[in-house]
Amino acid sequence: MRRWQLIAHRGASADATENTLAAFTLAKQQGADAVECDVRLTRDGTPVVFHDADLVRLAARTERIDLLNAAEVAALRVGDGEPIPTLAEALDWSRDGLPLVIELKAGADPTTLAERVATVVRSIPAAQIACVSSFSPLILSAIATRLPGVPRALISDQPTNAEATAGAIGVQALHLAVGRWLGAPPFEPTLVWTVDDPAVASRLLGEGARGIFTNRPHLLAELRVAA
Amino acid sequence: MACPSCGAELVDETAICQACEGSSSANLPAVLPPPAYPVRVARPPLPSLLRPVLPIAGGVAAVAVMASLAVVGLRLRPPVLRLPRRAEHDSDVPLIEIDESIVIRTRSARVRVR
Ligand SMILES: [Zn+2]
Repeated sequence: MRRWQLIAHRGASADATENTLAAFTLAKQQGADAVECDVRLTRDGTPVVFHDADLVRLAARTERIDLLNAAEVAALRVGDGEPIPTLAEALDWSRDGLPLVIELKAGADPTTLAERVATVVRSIPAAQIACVSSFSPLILSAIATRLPGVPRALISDQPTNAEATAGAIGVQALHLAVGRWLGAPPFEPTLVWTVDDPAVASRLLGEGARGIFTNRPHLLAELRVAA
Repeated sequence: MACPSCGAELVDETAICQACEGSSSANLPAVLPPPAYPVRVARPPLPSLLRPVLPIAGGVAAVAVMASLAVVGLRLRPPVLRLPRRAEHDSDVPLIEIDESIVIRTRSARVRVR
């Protein structure tokens, strides 16, 4: 029996603060194969691991990440006093942790974002990268030339045109929203986000999904143990 | 309104929850188009190896789905998964199976930068 890919969405984000090293470590303990994280640029161009454009939801503050510099972001705390990791810190964690699925959020200039991310990736020896992903074809194209050999995945919440777009920009995988799954993978391989229900996950896998992004790796890991 | 899945406050009730990104069926119907084919809510037959594990999780999931349906209630929204009307999965085919190519590809995707 082959294993499918169980990817912790922002780490074990149902049980720890999302996109923190604590959540990544918990994801490994819960049996994930890889950790997905979100990356944005600070004002001074440092890639940091944070999902939202602003701090409202996670830190009850109104500032935007891209208007703070790296030192200001480093001083912030989220959840139970966890720091916001830089991409470099996340990659350093991956060396003895799990491979990272690095989602590059749109917002910054694609060329600048790709350049900064590539520089960080090259600076961390033995980092594990499962792939770089993005909703933005422009970002994925910019990454292709700067990190050749690193797999790329297109993220989509639309079933239509996903296959054509993925094919056109030459990515290695499609990451599709669960709400847009129509009973079969529109691209090979298609991995589906975000599923916490084992019954839903088993059904998706039965219909050809090659991986699942989940906030609760321990629940879906039970499926795999059984297999 | 709070996200039925994770409890986070939904700023936009028609959008995917930013906290969990639609992790359960509960918060997805509002953003789904009409179902393309009849909805089946029954779980597919499971390979025998999975049967010892899934009833508990499945039971919890069923309660969750029923609870979410109760939340969605009389709006008669469809559940998230609009699955094709397949009589049964082929019982000879494991429900969870990955072919060799993706495993190889995934392993090779583990890039070590030196
Ligand atoms: Zn939610």
